[in-house]
Amino acid sequence: MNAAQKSALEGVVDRELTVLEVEQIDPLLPDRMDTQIADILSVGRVRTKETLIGERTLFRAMGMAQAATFLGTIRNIAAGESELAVPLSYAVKWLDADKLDVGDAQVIAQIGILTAIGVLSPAQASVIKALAETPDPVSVSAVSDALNVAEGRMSL
Amino acid sequence: MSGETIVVTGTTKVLEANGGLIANNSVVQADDASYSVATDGGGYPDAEFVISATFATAPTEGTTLVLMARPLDIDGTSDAEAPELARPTRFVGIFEVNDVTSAQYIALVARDVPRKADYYLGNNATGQSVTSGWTLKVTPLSYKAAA
Repeated sequence: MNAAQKSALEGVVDRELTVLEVEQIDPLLPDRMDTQIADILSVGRVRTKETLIGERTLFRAMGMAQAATFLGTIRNIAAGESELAVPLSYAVKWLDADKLDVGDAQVIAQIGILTAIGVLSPAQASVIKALAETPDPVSVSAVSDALNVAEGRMSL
Repeated sequence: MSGETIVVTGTTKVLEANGGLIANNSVVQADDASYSVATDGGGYPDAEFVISATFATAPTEGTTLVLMARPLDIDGTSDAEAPELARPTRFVGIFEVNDVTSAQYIALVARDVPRKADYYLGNNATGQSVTSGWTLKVTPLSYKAAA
């Protein structure tokens, strides 16, 4: 993989390629197996989308015991005087209405805060955030177009 | 019966005998030769183009390789622009591919081909590369009255 090809692929995924990705993609480049290259770059790629949930969703995702503990904790915080009380009071209200959007950036930030103070474990936080994640594969066309430009091929 | 219209063909010319890899969404020229209706085609206005192409990994069924022409000497010795997939200069036709990895031989008939042109093959989102070694041949085509 030369520098131009690497830069082109990093432009497609908007990040640096990992060492493993470079190793896997290198043998695919001479024959330009772009579909396979796109598959490699797509591993683990997700995007968040609007996802409205309620308490039942949390029970299914986290299990009864963990969800019950979590919901009890945030209801107590929401009823208290801490600086988290106001934002969590809204979260509780939306949960009660089955309309808490766990794909919303502000809600994700609150999940991060709850994880930092120990209300949620990192694993539990991942479970909740995963509810709003959907695969975001790289298109073969995007890979092809980027590599064609990098390699100086006649194309678009 | 005499006087009915029959097809006549001229001498086949090889425009590309060993083409380079055509990556997905890219264009490669058949650069062994250009084709002139007057000098190569005997004045015949039409032509049959035939490719042989192989994909190492099967392409998406029904996608196409696009045949494009770059007319030459259209204003004195000035040529038209080289084609691109998004702007084919002179679109000639399409070769619809099969989702196989064996060599595919595909023909298309083009009417009123440019008087003189270079020809290019575009990989129009087949998803896979045409391996190097592809060929493109042209056979002049016309009609005449049977004797």
